Amino acid sequence: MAIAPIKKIQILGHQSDQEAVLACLQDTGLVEVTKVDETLLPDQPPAEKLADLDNRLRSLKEAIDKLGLYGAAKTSLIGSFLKARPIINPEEIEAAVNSSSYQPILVEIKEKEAKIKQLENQVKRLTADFESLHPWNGLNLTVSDLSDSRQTHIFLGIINQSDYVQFIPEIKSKNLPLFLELVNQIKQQRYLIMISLLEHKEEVEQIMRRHNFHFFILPESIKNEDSMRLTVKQGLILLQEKNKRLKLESDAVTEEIISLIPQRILLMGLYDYFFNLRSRLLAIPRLGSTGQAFLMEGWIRAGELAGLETRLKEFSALAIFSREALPSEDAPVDLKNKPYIEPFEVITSLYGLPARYSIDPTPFLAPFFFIFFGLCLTDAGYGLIMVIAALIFLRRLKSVRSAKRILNLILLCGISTVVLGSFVGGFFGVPVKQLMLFDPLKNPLIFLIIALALGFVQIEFGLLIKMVQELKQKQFADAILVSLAWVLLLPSLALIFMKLPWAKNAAFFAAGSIVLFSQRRIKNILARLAAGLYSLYDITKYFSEVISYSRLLALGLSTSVIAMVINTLSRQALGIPLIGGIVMVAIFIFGHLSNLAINTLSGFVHSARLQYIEFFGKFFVGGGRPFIPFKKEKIYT
Amino acid sequence: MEWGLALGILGAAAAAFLAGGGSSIGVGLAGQASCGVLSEYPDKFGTLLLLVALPGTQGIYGFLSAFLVILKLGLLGGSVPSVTVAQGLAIFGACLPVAVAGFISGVHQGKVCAAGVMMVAKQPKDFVKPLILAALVETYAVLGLLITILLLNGIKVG
Repeated sequence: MAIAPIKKIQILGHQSDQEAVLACLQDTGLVEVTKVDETLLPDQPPAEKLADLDNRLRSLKEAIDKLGLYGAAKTSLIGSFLKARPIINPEEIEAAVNSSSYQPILVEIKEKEAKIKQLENQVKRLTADFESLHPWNGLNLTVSDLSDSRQTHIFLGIINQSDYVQFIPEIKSKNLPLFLELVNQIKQQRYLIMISLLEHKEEVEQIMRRHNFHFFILPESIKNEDSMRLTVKQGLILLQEKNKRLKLESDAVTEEIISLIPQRILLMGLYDYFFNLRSRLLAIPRLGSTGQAFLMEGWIRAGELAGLETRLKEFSALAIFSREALPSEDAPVDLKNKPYIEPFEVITSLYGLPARYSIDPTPFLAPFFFIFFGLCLTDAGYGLIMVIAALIFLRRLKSVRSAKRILNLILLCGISTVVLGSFVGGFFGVPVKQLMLFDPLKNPLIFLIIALALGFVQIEFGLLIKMVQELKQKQFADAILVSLAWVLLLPSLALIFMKLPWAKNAAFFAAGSIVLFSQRRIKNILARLAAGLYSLYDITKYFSEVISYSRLLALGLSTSVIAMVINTLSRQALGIPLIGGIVMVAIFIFGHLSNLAINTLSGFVHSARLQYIEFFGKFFVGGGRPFIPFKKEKIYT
Repeated sequence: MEWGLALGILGAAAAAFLAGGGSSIGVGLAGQASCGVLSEYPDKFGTLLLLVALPGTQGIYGFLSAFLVILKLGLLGGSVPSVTVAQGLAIFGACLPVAVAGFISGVHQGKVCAAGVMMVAKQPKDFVKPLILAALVETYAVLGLLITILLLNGIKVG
């Protein structure tokens, strides 16, 4: 329980074993490897090997991402939190690494991708050509007719209606030998073909430019052997056919890429393999080296030392030393708790780990968090949903520890909600009268008193923990004269209201002790008493902290009232003719799910806040550095 | 309609629209900020959603209080009790804590959440810390709700 003891470990071995030892450490994942601070030469990782690995990782990642884009399993929102990871046989990966059989796959994906890009660009270009040519489909000329002949020049152009009405009279007034035909009109645009003699080309062109003619140039894609003899209309059909062929071709290539998707899992495995190889190389500079031997230092959980030693037995030329951490050393902190407490480590870690020499608050906050969350959600139905969801996900994912911890926390919170919800709440907003201890809507005061009492107990508990810690550190005066005084003062103040005769005296003694001793470190006696008197002002702080627990009532009520509202609304929807039933079910499901979501969020956040601010404030000393063992990272698998 | 009933309805309306307005502003602020972050890190949607949703609770508290008033006044069918002007005024007053505290804390919680969204962009693992900081702001909306519920519970109508 509490903070796991951590030992310093030193491994001394022959240089030739270095890589294998690192691999073994990474495999077991038991040791946090730290930098050797002796005056040994730090070993350099082989630079070209690292660069090569980086390259491989990059191309693997590219390939994995690309295959991902081509429709490898899409994940849902929840799925993205808890994705089931593919499982790959390590021997298969080993084989693939040794034979480099994966390289052709990478090349293939890259080439196919480039091919698709190229085809897509062609399709885009042809589509654009098709669209620009389409207005001219009324032209009854072949493509070759549209280029200049020996004596004539052909103008194709687009002009606005407003320019057109001025252009026609002007060009006619010139009396040039011209052929002019309106091919098409779309909205304000007029599509014109004009044929003039070559000698008049300049003159005609000038007039056209003055009237904002937009000259149309035949797209290159139509000016080739196949379509020279075709009319514009036929050319268009040809373009369309070409486009279709290209699309089919690109679809075929896409299919080929899709057929590679099953290989993605192997690529993922390889990525992780190389990634871990790389992190082994990167760990090398942390070791010390003499050229012949290497020295490795790190931290290990005391309980796992024996296990590591047996694992390292295969190396004959290896010496392992271990010792307790020195106070001056920056040893990491690791929490270790009983299985039913362990999920609550999530809450402690979210705040930050406790300092090395303090205590782990997890076992102390666990029962409070458990109850608080249940009171905030107060609906057995919602609790049941949480329990079922947590169980489903727990079954689906086997190994990841951090995800498991969170799921177990959800499971426990769900259980608490089911129990407390049936006593003071209901089942999807419908109170179960037989189970209910009291109706919080009719008697909110009872609930309020329970909430405040819970708060009072937790604050007292926090003060007690502080006192015990001071006793352990042999600060007896602080523990008895101040902390114990506070522990006694708060309940006796509360009891004064109940008119218990001795409560006054107890409160008086406790307060006196606080005034006299809380500021013992101040030399001047008057200043000390004044400061001690001022410390009594903390009573208001404790008062407001207890009041703060009233949020449990507000949050609990808000869940059950909203659940009731949803039921009322869905019942009223039944009145709608025909689709009433469907609307009712929709309102019921959607309403309860969103109520569950928002109240789980605020239930979690507020329960956690009560721990962090009201409870931790009493005794918690933060600043612990998390224990990060050197281990295999799993990016994809 | 009597004046008392009208005053009660005014209270319910104020609770819903003031607290709802505060939440709208708050969720809006956090939502804008998270869109900015999402454009860089689309995979953070799940985490950011929590931060954006949190300022939404004030609106729910206001809605809930309004609904309690509606039940009290029997507006959802059933017989409408006679409400004196004093009772109506009392209901109106009882709605004010959740309405005003909800409005102001909704806006400011939104600001904290928006800042938290920026923080998540840089420190994705610490996403609970801004949630807790935002919950500190929410405390006062929760307390407002609590007082509103207790006051409403104390007012006897009809």
